[in-house]
Amino acid sequence: MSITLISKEGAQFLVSKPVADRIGVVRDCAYGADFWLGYAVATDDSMGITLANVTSSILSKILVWCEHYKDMEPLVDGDSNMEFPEWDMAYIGHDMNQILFVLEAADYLHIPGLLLLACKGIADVLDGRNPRGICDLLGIVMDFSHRQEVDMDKENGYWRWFLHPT
Amino acid sequence: MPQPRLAHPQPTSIAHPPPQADGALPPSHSLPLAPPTPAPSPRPTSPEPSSPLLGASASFLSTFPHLPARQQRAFLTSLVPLLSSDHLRHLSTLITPLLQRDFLRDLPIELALHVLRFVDDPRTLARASQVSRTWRALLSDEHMWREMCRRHGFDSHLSTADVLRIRHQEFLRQQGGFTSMCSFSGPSGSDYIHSPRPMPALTPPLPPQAHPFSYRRHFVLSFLTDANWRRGGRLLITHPPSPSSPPPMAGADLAPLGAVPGIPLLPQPHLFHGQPGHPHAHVHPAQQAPQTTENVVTSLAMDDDYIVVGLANCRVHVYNARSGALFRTLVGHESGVWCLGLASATPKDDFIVGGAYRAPGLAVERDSQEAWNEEQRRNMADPCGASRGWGNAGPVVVSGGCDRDVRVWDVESGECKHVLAGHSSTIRCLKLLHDRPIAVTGSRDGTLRVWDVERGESMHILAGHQHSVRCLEVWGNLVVSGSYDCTARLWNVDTGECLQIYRGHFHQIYAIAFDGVRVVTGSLDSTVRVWQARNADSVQMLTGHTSLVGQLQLTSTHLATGGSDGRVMLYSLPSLTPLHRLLAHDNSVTCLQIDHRFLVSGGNDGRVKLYDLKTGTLVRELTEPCEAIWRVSFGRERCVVLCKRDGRTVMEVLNFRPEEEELNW
Repeated sequence: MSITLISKEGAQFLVSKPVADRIGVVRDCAYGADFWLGYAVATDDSMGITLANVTSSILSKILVWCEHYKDMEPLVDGDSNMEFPEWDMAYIGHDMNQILFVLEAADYLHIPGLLLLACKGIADVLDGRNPRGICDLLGIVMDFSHRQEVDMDKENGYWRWFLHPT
Repeated sequence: MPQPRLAHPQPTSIAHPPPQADGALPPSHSLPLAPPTPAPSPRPTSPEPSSPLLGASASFLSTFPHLPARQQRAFLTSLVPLLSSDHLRHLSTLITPLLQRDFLRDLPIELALHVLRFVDDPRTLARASQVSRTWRALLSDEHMWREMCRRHGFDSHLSTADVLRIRHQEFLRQQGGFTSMCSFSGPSGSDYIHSPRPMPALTPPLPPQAHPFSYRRHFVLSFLTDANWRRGGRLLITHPPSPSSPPPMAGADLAPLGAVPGIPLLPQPHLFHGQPGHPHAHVHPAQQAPQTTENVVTSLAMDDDYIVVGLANCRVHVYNARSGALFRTLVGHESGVWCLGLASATPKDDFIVGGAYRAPGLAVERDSQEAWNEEQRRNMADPCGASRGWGNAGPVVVSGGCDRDVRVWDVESGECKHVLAGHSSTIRCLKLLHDRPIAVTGSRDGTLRVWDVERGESMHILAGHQHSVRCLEVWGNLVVSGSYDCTARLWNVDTGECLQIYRGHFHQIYAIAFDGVRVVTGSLDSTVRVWQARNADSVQMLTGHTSLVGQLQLTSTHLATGGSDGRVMLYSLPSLTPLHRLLAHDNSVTCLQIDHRFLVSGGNDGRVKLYDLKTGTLVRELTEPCEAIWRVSFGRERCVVLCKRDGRTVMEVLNFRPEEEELNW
């Protein structure tokens, strides 16, 4: 059995059941449809599910992940030290904007493994950047009050002290 | 990008499912299901084209979204060369904000916090808190810092006061007194601590402290303390002050804190120069001339508040651990003190709420590994010689030595509460049980005795060893003892019966460790044996040393051994795989202690070495080399070294806790 997923733009993606099962919301939809809608699930190839919040480009990206993980279990939250496989890190990349869309989509579609990976991806992009660098990256305007700036100066001295201990 | 849904192929809405009978399914592709659509997260809105578009371009715009992706891309690629730099600049200002998203602000808060949990380097978090107000507020979220504490292992060493504080704050939050999700630090936090809200009787009393507890603060404190161990730290105090250099805190050691009028103290700095073997030396301390005879330090115990030192000159000195100042001298023993234990003060409320005592048995089947780990952790003896008290309001010291008496002291008043007679020879070793007023002593008369130190009674005599009892270790209500008769025994403290005898060593046993599952013994025959506590036949022999093994410590993950050959071995548990062989000292190892971060060893060569537990590399030497190290003990924030320097016995307290003003944010 396979399922047709329909993106926000209306593009259709035909995916096999093990791949679609990685997407929590599709799983719920497929199994819970009679429950929701009052009539039985279609058991032939005919079923289509509209994912109205996910664009085609992000959906195809997500399906790559689902395809990769159709036969194995992704990391679950709480695994000690969360070491992601190399494939995952290459997959998620460093494009902040794209990772954010993946993150939101993974949240909306209920894909916990991918959600974790996206979080990790964002954290890695932030790693090693100074505040100014983060602002430039994300287009944030610093909006601190004078008092907060004084506080931060204190903090700065503090962290610098541990970055370069005597 | 939000696009107008002009020509959706299947505009079926989930809200109005066609009322159909079971059999009447529509043909293929007519059943598009859709998951419930939550309100989309807020996003920067794309500027709507406000200028009226002419017919052709308007109709093209409406068809553009429906072109195949390849054609869309090709169209854009061919469009760019047609644009002037003015156009490009205009485009750039339109596009840039679309590609930049302040995700912490835009994402739902729980997602944003989820992302931050994945930042490994706390320095990144520190930097991120300086980005904007929103970020700053999010980054003071307590749950995230709690997670960071957990990940770095900092949650395992919360002090009793901190635990009380957390419990108190959680209680207030449950009462609805505190609903904001952000941290307790800052001015608003201190208000609520002093709020006049009536406290129910069961709320633990809040110890006075300048700051309410915050995980963020705790994290920074712990992180910096660890960094200090490696590279910073300062010598808090030296007793007696070195004559060559001015004392680091002049006068501090001359002003005992919390002195009770009428109790004589020993305010002179030359603390360790009493007269050994002269029972009345302490009566006229002021008349004491500096002695040339050195005094041997025999025992050391410490907790977060006090450092207790037992000397061969019958004295027990108690120091304030935070300031390093002499707090009290306990006088009464008639000859040398050989061993002592410290029971930390535990307010009764705390004891009832948190420390409920459960009698453990030998490790049999447990409900879960986790429950067992927790039980093992709770029952494990403290390597610094301190035990959790039994609800005693003030700290209690129990000491024993050559005069065969066990003495129980109230530290705050300096009063000797009980003198417990019974042993017929020198008391060689002593341990206190956690959560109970019970001390176990081992003596050269070959017996162990179990004492109720609250009521001052003997509870049991554990007889069986043929020779001196040299060492003992407690775990829950069990005690193991090692003896010069080459055997070790396992006893039940409550019944007084001997549960196991471990035979196999060829020479005297000098050191013993016990974690509820395995008993480890170190002997003059230069071997270390690891016995299964329940089955004395099952034994593993570790032969890494070439002479007497006198130092042993077990933790939940490691076994460390130190020998007279100057060598230190570290094994991982439960496999007993050797991790590191350290040639630590030129002479015998006199003291050895490990925690989850470090290994500290002191030797007769006068050096104190700090090793990284994971890598086994020497981090640094903690003190200037001296003649010999008597005792070293360390807690999270400080290290106490008792050594012989320039012919005199000296105590040095090293402090690794960052200064309070550095933490004041």
